[in-house]
Amino acid sequence: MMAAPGSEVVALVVRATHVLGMAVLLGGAALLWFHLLLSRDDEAAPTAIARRLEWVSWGAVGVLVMTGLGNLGALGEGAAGPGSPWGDAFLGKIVLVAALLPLLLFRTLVVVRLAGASQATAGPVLKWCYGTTVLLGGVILGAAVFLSHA
Amino acid sequence: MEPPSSSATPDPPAPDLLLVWSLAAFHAAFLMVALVLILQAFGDIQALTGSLNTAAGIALYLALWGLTGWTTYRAAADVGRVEPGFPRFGAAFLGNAIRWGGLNGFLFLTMLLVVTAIGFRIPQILLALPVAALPALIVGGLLGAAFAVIDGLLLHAAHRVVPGEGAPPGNP
Repeated sequence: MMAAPGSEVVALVVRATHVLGMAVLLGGAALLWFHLLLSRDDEAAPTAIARRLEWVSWGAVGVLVMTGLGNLGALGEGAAGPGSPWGDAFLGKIVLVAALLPLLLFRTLVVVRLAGASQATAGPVLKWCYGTTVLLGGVILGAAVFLSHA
Repeated sequence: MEPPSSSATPDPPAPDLLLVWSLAAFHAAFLMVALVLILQAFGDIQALTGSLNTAAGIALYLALWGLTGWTTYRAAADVGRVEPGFPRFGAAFLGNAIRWGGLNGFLFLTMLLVVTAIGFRIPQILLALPVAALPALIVGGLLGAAFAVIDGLLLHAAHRVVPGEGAPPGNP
């Protein structure tokens, strides 16, 4: 059965917003991580920028989950369960997302605490937090690319 | 009207809004991801995706996110009154998580029933509210307790990585 044209447009907008959300979440963290990698440990850590980035990142997480559910809705009964290549890849992606969310929260808690800590502590800790979440986010992005072409 | 006494106890500072924003977004997102994960691994994901209306799903997620944001703010403010400063897991933390989580469950159910009653024109569904209110309070309270444990572990880890008193609540 063909989907109504209106629902195709909604599905496209939801999908584009999902991609935009991931670009903001992963791109913002990657930029800050690269900046930290290029900085010396004794340089002032950009804790104020990190704090702003955390605000934006959690907004992006909300948009990603919301539009992710919308993407599932657009699949309808075409969504495959476990046992199929698509179903197993999707399960793997969701497991990684479930692992990423507590890491992101830990990163935010560290950023909140670092606002009052010494600059000497901030740089290496931020580098570790952003590096871990960027790498895990990259793996999730790879799974998403596989799912969209499977 | 008497001027405020200089010896009056000052109000505790408002909770750190970034902390509230991140905790609320985490709770709403993790709950949905866990639900999808369980359905995909052990259940019937097609049952969810086949019945999911995109607009209604987005509206309900926004409602869950908003309600969770409000209850998280209130819980954080109540914890701050008892134990000012960067929050730590303890009796006040757990108690408020259960209390406000229960209220969140009840309010979300109420919103769900009202939206269903109006959207699908079945007002009689509102009769389910008195029956379902207690289970919603209990489920919300249990989820609040579960998230309090996860948050408590992550807060403890953040304390370990950045020792000391940490930053005073600062906004934004």
